[in-house]
Amino acid sequence: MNGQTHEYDSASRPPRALEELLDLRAHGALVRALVERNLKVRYKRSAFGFLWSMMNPMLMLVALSLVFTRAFAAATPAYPVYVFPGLLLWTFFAQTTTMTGEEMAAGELLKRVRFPKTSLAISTLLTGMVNLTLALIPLVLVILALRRPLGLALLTLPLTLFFTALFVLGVSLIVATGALYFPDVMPAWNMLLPALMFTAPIVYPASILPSRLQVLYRMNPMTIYVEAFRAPLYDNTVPAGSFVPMFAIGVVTLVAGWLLFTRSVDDIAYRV
Amino acid sequence: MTLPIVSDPFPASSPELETLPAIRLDGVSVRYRVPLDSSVTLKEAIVRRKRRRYVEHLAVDDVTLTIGRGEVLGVIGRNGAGKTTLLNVMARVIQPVAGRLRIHGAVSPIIDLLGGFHPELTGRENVLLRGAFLGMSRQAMSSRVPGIAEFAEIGQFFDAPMRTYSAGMIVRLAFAVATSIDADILLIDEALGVGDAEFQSKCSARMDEYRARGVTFVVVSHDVNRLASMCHRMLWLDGGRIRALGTPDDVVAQYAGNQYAGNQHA
Repeated sequence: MNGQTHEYDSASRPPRALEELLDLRAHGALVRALVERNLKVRYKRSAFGFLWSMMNPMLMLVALSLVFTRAFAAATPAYPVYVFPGLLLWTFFAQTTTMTGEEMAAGELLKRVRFPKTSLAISTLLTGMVNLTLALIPLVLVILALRRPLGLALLTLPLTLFFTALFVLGVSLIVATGALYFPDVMPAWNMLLPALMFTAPIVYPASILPSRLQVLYRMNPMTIYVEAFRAPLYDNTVPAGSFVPMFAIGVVTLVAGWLLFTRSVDDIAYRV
Repeated sequence: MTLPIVSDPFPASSPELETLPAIRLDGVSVRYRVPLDSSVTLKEAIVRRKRRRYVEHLAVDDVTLTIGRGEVLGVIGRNGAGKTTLLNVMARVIQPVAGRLRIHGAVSPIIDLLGGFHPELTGRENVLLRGAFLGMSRQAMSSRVPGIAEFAEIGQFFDAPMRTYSAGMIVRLAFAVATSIDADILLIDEALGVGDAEFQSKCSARMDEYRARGVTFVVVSHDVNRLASMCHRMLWLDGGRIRALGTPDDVVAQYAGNQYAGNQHA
């Protein structure tokens, strides 16, 4: 009936992390179907559709611009263009990790249907990437309105976004694993996220930090992704030095998250 | 009064069992951890080093069973006997803690009718989604959509959000999807008795079609007599263990006798 083999023997299973990959391949239509589900459920019943998911960063943009444009004028001449890309990438990070964790914590589907559970995390990630891509339209409008340079450096955006996706998927799986075991993980994560946002140079330029705090914001792994994402949009520069570390951090996080999650997820059935 | 446990798992009615098994379970056990008090929070776990207290519940206890290709196996037992858990093991929704499970063939579960359906999506969209959960390709599922819509008989509701459906409509759609894919093994939990008389006869007709094609059935039901009339063999589960396995007549007689004895005591 489809591409998967229908012979199963619990005594000769591949390692769990690999089995998950094979299972994803056997459910080739699942990720796409779940992305469609996410988009339809989100946008179908509201007149403004995807605008709702943009409301939060948009309002933040307006509020922050009103407050800080003058304050940060020296360090960031076009503050709205500085703050918007960071807000969008952070929203992508925050929404993806939260939604994945909450869906896993709800657990209903996990106990009812057999399917590769990582498909939930991957489809939530891809849904977020669709939203982020759509949000580039208002972003470009803001850039044009403020007459900032736009150029070939934009071509690095897909690569940066890909590396970011590796990292975000890894964090999603780690958060989801925690959410499987402890009901407190999701409220704690939701509370932590806004605080974490202020440890990365999203709202403020990094140069305003005193030198002894410079180390601190470097410790937030999202910093490097935010800066690389913003560079071509803000002043048309290529974040050449960031690609290798972005890839390395992304791969390490994803592998860690994948191993942790696939090792734990079958356990859900025992904890009724 | 204790009844003898039927030890012969291979009655004459199914000679293909040993050469062509569809499902084999060897010493399969499923254990649940049932929390005794309300859930322990992260804070309690860390600060007070409080450990959640559990009782271990063996929902399926050392079950060894071979189901032959084309066999119809009926599973009976009281509530909490482990029937649904056993089906979920065969559907691989639940991983056993011990034992070996072998499955030869594509499985279509009709265990949880709502699993994977989303109330905001239309019937049509849910059909494609459920198909993806079952491992079907988009193309293969799309080509089945008209047949599914026709079988489910939900008319224009097929393109309405599922939250507007009656329970019966959801059941019909779930049944239509599960039986539309070319499964070798159907796992059915209590789904038979649902729907009006006309739809039930349609279901029966489709089941007969499947049986003629040599599809293996594992059916869980409380309707013992109805089940006995359609099965090759019956399995009586009691406290997660096999209490009896054999011809429908034998097993039903033992089951009925036990219930009668239980009532006498009470």
